[in-house]
Amino acid sequence: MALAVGLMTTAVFCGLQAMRAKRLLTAALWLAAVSASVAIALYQLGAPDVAVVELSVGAGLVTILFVFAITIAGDEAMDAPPIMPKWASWLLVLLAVGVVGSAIQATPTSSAAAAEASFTAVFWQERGLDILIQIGLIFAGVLGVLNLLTEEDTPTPSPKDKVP
Amino acid sequence: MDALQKLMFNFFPLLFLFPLAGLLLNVANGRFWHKPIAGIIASSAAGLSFVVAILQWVALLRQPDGTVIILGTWLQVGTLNVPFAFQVDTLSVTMMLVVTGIGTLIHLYAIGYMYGDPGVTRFFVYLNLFLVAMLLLVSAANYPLLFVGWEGVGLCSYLLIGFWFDRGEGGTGNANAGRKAFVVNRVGDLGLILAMGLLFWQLGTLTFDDVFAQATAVFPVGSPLIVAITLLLLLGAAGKSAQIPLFIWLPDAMAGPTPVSALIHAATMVTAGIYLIARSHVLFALAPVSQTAVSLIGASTALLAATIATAQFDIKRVLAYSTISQLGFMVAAIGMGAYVAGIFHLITHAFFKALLFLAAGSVIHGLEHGGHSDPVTLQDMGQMGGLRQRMPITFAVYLVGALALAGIPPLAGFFSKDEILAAAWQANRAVYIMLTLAAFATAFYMGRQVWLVFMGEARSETAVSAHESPPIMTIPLLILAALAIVGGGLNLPGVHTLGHWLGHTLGHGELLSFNATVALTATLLALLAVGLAYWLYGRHPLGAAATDPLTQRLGPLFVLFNQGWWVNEMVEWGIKRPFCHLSTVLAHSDEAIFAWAERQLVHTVQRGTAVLRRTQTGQLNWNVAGIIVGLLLIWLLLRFS
Amino acid sequence: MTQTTVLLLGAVGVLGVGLYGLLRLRNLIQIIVALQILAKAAVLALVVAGKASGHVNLGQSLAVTVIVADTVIAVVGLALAVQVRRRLGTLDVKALATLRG
Repeated sequence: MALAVGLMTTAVFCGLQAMRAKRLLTAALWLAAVSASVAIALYQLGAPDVAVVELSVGAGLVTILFVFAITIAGDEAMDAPPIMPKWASWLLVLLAVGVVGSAIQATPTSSAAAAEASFTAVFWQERGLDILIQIGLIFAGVLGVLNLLTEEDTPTPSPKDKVP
Repeated sequence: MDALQKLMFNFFPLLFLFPLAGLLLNVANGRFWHKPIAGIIASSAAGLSFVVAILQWVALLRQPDGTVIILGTWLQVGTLNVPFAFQVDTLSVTMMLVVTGIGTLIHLYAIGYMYGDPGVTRFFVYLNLFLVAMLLLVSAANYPLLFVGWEGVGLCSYLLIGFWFDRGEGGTGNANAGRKAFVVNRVGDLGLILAMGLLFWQLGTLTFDDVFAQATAVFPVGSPLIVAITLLLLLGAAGKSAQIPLFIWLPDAMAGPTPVSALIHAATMVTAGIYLIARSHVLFALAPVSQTAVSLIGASTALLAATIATAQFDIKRVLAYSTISQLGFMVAAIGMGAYVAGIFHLITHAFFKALLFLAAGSVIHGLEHGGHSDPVTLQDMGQMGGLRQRMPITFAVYLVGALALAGIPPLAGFFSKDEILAAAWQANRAVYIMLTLAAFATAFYMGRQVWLVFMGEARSETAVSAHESPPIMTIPLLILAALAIVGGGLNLPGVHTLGHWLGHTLGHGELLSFNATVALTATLLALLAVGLAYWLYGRHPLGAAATDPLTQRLGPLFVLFNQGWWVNEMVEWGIKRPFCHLSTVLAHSDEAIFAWAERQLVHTVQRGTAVLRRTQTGQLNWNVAGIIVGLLLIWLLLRFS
Repeated sequence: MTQTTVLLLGAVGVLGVGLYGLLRLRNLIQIIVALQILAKAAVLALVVAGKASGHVNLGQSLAVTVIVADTVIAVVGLALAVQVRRRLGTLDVKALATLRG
């Protein structure tokens, strides 16, 4: 219980730090921290399989991807003021959070641990369609990235392009 | 109906199919052939069609009551049933013989006349198309089918008037003349359509036999409805047959090649109105008011056009006004119930007016190909003169045609015109006087024309260098001249061949007896008119630059005649200008009201979209905001609905 | 206050952080970071809901699908960001507002 509160506080705090970070690399690292605290919370909840995936993919692979992309695109500070007025963004965020949060009460709380099939069985046997979609997504993603990254010609190079 | 007659009627569809085949052959292959072949094919088609018409005539000789040939269904809507039905009776076969017979001769002539013209194939395609439409018109057994032919000949008339569409005043004169003919004819067509509508409304049928059978039962004599129907038919006839007030298109129609003027605008198409009234004679018999109107319009047209013809200098314009005048004679005749006289004059007029036009064409052709050609003056009679030695055959046949038209016995025109005058003497003295005056003027202007064109000395280089036309042109002229001489024999007084023949269709009415007084008066007046023409133009042949002696004799009247009583100008100022002004006003009010409203609408939409456009910033953050707002709205919808 | 409620509240909080980032940030890569944070919230909520309704493995399966999809989104998004940086010389989303053929 206390651990859950602590983990959630950590996740929200790290998320805010990621948003407020001046450097992209810092933001990516704070994101990894969010991912890690969520993974621990999942493990605590009794979902070790997805916790492992979250930790390895969310905290590991994605962070590496970010570091890779930031290395190419350049880690520059962005001091420009936000486009949207502060009050408007806060209003929208609070509205959204309020609407979603109000739904928490409606969640059924039957913690009756029914005799459920193991994760492997559920994942591989009952969610076959999801797996197919995931495979399709992964292929599409790989193809898209290859296409984007191998296109070397730059029609309108700008002076800032020299930054590696 | 015996077997042989049936067999001959079976050939009837070929009447159309030959010209249709001719025109399709020329359309498909014309560009690959040596040019004269198109003319030969078209002439053969016309000739074969003439043979078929003769077959129908022979068939009718065995049993003259005629028949209706149904080739299929065209329209079947509700109670309206319009089959492809064709009336083969004495009236339609007479018209078929005239159309195909004269048509064939004119086709042959046109081979020579149009030789070397780059558009000769197109010309013969139009001519064959005209034959198809005209034969459809005269053989249809119901009004809609007749109307198809009616519009078809109108189309061909338009196409052929504007055949040399790049010539004429300002390069568009001929095209404008064609358009004028087309538009004026539409006014008449409106009358015909309305008459058809009224007939169908009242009788439920448009087939000739049924209409005429029911009309006598449905309409009492002189009832307003039948008067309206017949007056509308008269309007249609006035458009096609160039009667007051719709005659203004015909003189301009002379912009077409001369064979066209001869075939369409003298011999055949313009007689369609007379045919229409003769065909609908049962209806007109029910409306004495309309009959009087018909004869008065015919007689006044005859007189008016004849006076105009006396003061024209263009060789073809004289003949054009003469045609209007002679059509007036026919219309007057059928208005008085003298259908046989009207159709008789139609036939003889087809002979001698086709002859005159073709001979005039021969004159123009002779001038044009003489080496000194100036297109502006080719048709000006003031530039001619002395052509009798240079074009002897043309001169001879022209003389025959002119005498026939003037009504000198024993040529064709004498008999037919005399019959009309005799009928007028009995029916209506006012009409008789007008027609007699018109006949006098006719003889005078033909005499004037012959003297101006052929007698005296050549008044220009062009006239000096003129020469006779080739045999392909002169042979049809000789045949037509022979017909113009003996054509009167068709309906000799006391014998009435044509009268008995047409009686099978038009009803055996009282056959007019020969009226010696009328005949003698007419002949003496004609001779007097010719003598007058000699006195003015023959005693002292005109010099090269002399003015017409008629100018001084008639004074202001000459200007009036020369300008065609300013009928064109009256139409221009009375109808065309007000119409244009009205159109301008309407155009401006359209601009002021509707275009303004449209602009206001556009501005409103623009202002509205300007507001909406500001939300489309293209900024990613705003797009996210939009997504969130959208999700909230969906949630609201689900939550509170 | 049960563990489920706490975790769900935490998920909502993470969601709010992600949305805030999406609305406020201008750097393209940072926006992708915000997207990732949103996805964490979704993963967490799915599993917690599965646990609460007694179908924890079903929740896990769905969460794995979300993670995969989300990773692909990150990959493609980062590749796009790199291309944008190459072509426009900046990662500012404001530069993306220009339409070009």
